Amino acid sequence: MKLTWIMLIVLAPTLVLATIIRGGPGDRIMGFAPGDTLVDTLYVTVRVPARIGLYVNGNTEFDLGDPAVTFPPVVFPGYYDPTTVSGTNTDGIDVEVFSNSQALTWYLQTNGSGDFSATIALDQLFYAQDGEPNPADGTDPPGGNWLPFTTTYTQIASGLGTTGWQDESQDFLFQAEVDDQPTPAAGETVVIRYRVYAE
Amino acid sequence: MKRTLLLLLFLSASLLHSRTRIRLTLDSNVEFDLSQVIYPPFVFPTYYFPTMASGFNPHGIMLTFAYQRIGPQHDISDLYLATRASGDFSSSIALGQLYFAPSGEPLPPAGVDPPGGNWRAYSIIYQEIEHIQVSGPGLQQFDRPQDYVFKADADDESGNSSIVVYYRVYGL
Repeated sequence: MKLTWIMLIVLAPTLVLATIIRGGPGDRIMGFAPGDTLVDTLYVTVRVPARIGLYVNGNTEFDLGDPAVTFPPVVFPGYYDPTTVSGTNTDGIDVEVFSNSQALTWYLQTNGSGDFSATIALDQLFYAQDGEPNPADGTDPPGGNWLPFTTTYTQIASGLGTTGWQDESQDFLFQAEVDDQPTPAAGETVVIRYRVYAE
Repeated sequence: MKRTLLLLLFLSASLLHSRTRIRLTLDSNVEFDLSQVIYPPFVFPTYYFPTMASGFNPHGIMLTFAYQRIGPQHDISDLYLATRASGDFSSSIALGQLYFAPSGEPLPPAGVDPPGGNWRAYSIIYQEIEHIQVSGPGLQQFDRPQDYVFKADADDESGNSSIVVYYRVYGL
């Protein structure tokens, strides 16, 4: 009995005074062990800005003088895939869109700068989502999901947020017509623009 | 009289009882402001060091814990340091996207998931960082700067959010 009392007296301070001692950045918190537990806290803040993004790669060429290309076609209009591309899409260009806002709708649009030449119009260049089958020669317009480029922006896709970079790669198709005059050796070039915005 | 005697006994036991003084400090809150870095990244996930952190450790915090013998001997044999956090940042940003490691751990390369190395994901359960054996007289101090990285995932939605990170020290 006497031993129990001695034990209680010895251990009581530890048991009674045991506590959790809390603090924050800059605090020097102290206690005694066994018994006390020190808990220090800090805030971790993450700020993710609302962002939209656009990735386009790259330049594209239709070289109808290429030995691998049959020109003139047997039937006009003839349709041709690009002979040179810059990105990983062998039929056109790589396009990717990013948006991390579920509150805003993003829009992807495209246009072209103008006609290739006096005889080769801008609308002889067509675009569609990657994977669109080529039309048969002799059909005009090409049908399917092929759309001709114009100088005014045309919407390609839209949505509410993307999960990372969303693939919107585009295939290109050149429509050769009967009245196309030969180009200079360097070819004729137009500028294709893509734009993304959210609202 | 009897009560006074008992109180005196109690207080003297408090003073004479072998105990170990323990101490814990950390110096800073931490912020990842992705408007100050290249965001969105080209590849997900991408890892970021804090944009605001300790003046002594730009990748996280300076954390120090210590023990000191009070009385003739220690009454504990081990001191434990552990950490946990309060919960998810938001509905699209999970707590597990925040990682910690001892200071000096390299930034994980983009596209790697999990980050590897000594990086450990935070959870709401305490995870032991270290436990040391307690011995000897005098003050023993241990500087343990901690680094953090935030893993930006493809589905993170925009917004600002904070969580609480806890560090715990106790002896047994």
